[in-house]
Amino acid sequence: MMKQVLASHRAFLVLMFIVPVLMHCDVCAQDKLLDILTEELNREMSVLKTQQVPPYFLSYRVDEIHTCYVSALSGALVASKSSDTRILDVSIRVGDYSMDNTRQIRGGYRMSFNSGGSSSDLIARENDPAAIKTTLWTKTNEAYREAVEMYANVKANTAVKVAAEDTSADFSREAGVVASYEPPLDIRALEGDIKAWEAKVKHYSALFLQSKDIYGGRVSFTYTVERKYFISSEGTRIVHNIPYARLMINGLAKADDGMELPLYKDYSAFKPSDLPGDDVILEDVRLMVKKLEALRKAPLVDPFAGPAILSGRASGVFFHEVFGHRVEGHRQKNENEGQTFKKKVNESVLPSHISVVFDPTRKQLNGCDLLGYYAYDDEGVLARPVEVVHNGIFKDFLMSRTPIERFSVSNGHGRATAGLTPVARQSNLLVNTSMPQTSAQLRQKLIDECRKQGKEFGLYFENIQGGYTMTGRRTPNAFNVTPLEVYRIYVDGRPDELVRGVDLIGTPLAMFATITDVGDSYDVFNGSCGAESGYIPVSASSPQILVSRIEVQKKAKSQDRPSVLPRPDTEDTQIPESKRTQNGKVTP
Amino acid sequence: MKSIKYIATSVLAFLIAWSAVAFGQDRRDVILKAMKDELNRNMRSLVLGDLQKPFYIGYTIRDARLMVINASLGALVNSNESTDLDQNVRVLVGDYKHNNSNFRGQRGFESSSLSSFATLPVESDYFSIRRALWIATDNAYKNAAESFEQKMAVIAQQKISEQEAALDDFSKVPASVLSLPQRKLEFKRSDWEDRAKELSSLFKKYPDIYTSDVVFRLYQADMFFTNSEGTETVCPVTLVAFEIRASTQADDGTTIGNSLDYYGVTADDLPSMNTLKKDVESMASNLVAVRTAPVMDDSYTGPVLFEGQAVAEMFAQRFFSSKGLVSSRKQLYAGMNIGMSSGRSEEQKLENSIDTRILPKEFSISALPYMKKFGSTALIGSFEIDAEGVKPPQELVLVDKGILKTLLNNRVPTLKVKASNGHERQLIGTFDLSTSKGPGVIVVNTTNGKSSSEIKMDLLARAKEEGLSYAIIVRKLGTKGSDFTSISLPIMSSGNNEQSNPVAIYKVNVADGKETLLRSAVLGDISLGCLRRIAAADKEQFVYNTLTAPIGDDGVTTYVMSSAGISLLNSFNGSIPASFVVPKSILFEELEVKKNVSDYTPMLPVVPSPLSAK
Repeated sequence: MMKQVLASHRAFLVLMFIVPVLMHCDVCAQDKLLDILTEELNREMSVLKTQQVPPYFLSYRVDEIHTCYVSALSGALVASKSSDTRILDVSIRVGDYSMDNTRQIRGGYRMSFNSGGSSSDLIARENDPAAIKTTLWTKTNEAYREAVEMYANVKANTAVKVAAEDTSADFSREAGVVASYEPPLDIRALEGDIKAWEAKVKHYSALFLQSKDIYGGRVSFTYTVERKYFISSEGTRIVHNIPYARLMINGLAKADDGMELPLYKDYSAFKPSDLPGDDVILEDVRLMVKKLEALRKAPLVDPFAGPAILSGRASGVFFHEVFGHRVEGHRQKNENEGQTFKKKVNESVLPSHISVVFDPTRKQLNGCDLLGYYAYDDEGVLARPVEVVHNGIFKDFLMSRTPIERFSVSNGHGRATAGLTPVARQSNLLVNTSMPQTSAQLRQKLIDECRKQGKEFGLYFENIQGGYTMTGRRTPNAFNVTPLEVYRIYVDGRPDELVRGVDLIGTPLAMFATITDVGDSYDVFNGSCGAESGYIPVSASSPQILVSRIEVQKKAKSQDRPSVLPRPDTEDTQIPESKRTQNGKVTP
Repeated sequence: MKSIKYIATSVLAFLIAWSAVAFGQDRRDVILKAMKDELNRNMRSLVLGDLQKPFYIGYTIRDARLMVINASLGALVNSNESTDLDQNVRVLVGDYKHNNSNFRGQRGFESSSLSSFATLPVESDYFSIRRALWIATDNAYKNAAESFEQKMAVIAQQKISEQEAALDDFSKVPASVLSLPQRKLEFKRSDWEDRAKELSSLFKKYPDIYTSDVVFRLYQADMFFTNSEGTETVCPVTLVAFEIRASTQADDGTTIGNSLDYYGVTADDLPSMNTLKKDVESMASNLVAVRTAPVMDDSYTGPVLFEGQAVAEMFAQRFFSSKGLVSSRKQLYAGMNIGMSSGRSEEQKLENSIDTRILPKEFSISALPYMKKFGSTALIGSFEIDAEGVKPPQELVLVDKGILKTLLNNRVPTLKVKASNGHERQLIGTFDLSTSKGPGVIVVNTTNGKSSSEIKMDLLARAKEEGLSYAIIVRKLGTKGSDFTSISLPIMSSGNNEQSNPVAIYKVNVADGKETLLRSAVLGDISLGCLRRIAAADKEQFVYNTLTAPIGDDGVTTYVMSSAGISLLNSFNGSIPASFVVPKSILFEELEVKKNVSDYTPMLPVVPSPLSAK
């Protein structure tokens, strides 16, 4: 149903650009919140414009967020709650597009972006004009006071410091006025029966108790619908919906040496009804239980440098951390940032058969929903695909409305979580190749490479929990990716061996130089990405990649021994074994 | 797929079938049985290598339901409800004399995913509860055993006074078994939402008030406590709180605010809507009046009269915060930690004043924890058993005719207070079920009380004698939980030990008794010297319910930071419900009142309020 809504919305959009007046009368009139926001914005601007330091831009962003969260631990419900909130973010700019209050204050240790000129708070959930306008008024006042103060600081800082390396403007001028309206979703109908979700998560998570070596297993269902309102003094008026459902599975065992061994699996879709059915999930849980047991007994890997294959998911996360965060435009301007690619435009950064695209307009890949989909970004700019690397050549950055040298406009990647100021962030990352290799070919190439380097084995990274990276200048510009499942692939034909205890580490440019081949089938990693503008849904999709040399280091591990006593339900001798099911409950 | 009901009944049916123990069809019974069984198993078998076994294990479980409704200007901002079970596990290794407590060791922080697997279910699932306790006990035991070894090493290395060395770490108490009936609140959400909206809409008439909101909280919990000494208690705790806050800026830019707080054990204890509305109207008009009230622009030293809420809040803050009638045990620190312990215990001032006079001889202070009502007012601080399963005495005399007798204490002996007097209180609003020594019901009695008019005359006479043209009356103090220096959300004040600022303070003209509202006034320190020279007290009494801040082991007031929205339970900020019965007014012979200097006074908004722009 969601897809239909969005599909019709696209058709509608085209109309809107032709006759924007139509929308105003017919559609938006039904949305009271939009009217309230618009009235107050206009009222504020009309008075503030007369001030000595008038604003040239004012925007109101309201994120109306519905969240439903249902979670079970080892067969019993631990949470079932839902919430509805509206969060307001006011952004105000004084000065002009070329220099305003948001400019970085250079020198010394400071917050990389000044927050002067934005203010956020909870706002009434009900469309009461007096209540909402009063919050808008107090928050606009706060933001305006800060903006004026910051602008004075910016002017002083600019006067006393050396010229900035990047002399681009502070705010981009975007062509055309964007107006778009999407009707609200029928959340209750899409969400379905909460009781049914409670029963499902209990059922799935109970399976973890089949193994007595497992501490427990957690299964959580979340359904989030963000209805985003954005209006600005430039005339932008957008209302659209970002829905996503996720089912997360997490089991935990501990090795005898104390190492915690978590495994994760998650499923994402725009609609809860598109999440996989019981059969698929139950099978995956059973598999996870087996893997946890195997991991407990898996040998530890010593620090190693050599060839490796990254699965599609692993590669996706790798590209997201190592590459994605370094092509976020605003970082190229901040003089505390590493700016890995700033001077690499039109230079080769990857093998010539590899391209990297960020495409927020793409909804699916191989039947899998991509969570980095959106129609407009959080600055009200139309989303569009950005080919950052074309045939190995670096072409473009992800842009918000913060211009950088040679890139003066946004490409629809200004994103933020509710209440925070948007910066350039990732959307749907896709790694493409013009020379796809089959899995068998990649494996053979890995073995050949191992032989060449005199290695007994190469590594295969099957699954990855996530990762982090540092992009600043004052810290090593390194990344750390946390694998959950790593195998040794032996040169001599021994079977692959599950191992544990390593993190994948490196520095970006060195690592890119070692990517040699790309596989032929995609895996999708949907996730939540955290950075200065908060947590946002993203995806990263990639085929397997072969790297001639990666480095792994020992994972930090818990020093605590495994639990002294066995899990209570596996021990209590009062209960006859025959009468006990695995989650401690009896079957009649 | 099984339905919840089906599973719940099947568990019970099964448990009844296999167990000889009487096992009622009751959530309480399942929880309690799971606690006892897991506690016994751990006491029996939990031991690691050469380390000592635990000698004490205590389990607390809270089965709580909470509703929080927030409305502003007639519209709902938030309305949430949650049910949560949370546990706290205390494991002691060693013995009553020496164990791992009262020690700040060096165990480093280790990131672990294990704790998320120690989550209790929201349903009464026997084995799920045991599994959560199992993981938590295992972790607590490892910490305790390691701390104990470390502590013994530290004791061997540090010079400790004989007195301190002779002090037990944990006092013995008789086991208690207590089960009090459940107390249910009416959780009809839409009704509460309507009331919150209605009250909040009253502020629409006041465009000069910039922000306002009404928060209703309903908290209903069953507290379970079991320990290895045979104590087993189940007690209900309920709290209904209405909090109404408003703030604005005075003409000179200063942020000013006011609040109304109502607390009750049940909703019936709170005022009717009509009374609430009247209170809101008077609070709002008072706040508007304060905007243009004259600033306290000179220094005043002389007699000061406290009335009503100000008296009670003064006693609460002065005697039941970090430096008050609450004991503190000196903590032993591992050597390396010394440099890091900035919040280290300041010597407990009052502990050394036992058997000396701290108040005029007309004053006595008692803890009367079992007192449920004062007049028609329900006392939220009332309790029958404390968070360590200790029954407090019917009456505990803290101050007798001005002489300090003892301090509120828990099971950790201190140099002057060796035994527990049952005042370890459960905090409301923390994830980990923290507890703290703190007040329940406190009664301040006086002899030779005067009437209100006599005291006011006394005030003016004393001012005149000092050659002052006016005297000061304080009618309302800010509560520690509300700080109006932030325009939007009240943030916990920084935890200093000073008195909070007056919200309603008046100048009284000595010549004609005329009162003038003041703003930007702060009180000087209310020292023991000031307290000992209280000149007069009212013969009538005033009753006050409030949430007090917890007090750490080392006597430092601790504020539990909350992150609004993440957990509803956090919304009480980790505080102790307490009740105070105090004289309706008291006259200080001498206090200082000064101008409050604000760090940040932004300009007034240039755009008029939408409420006035009609």
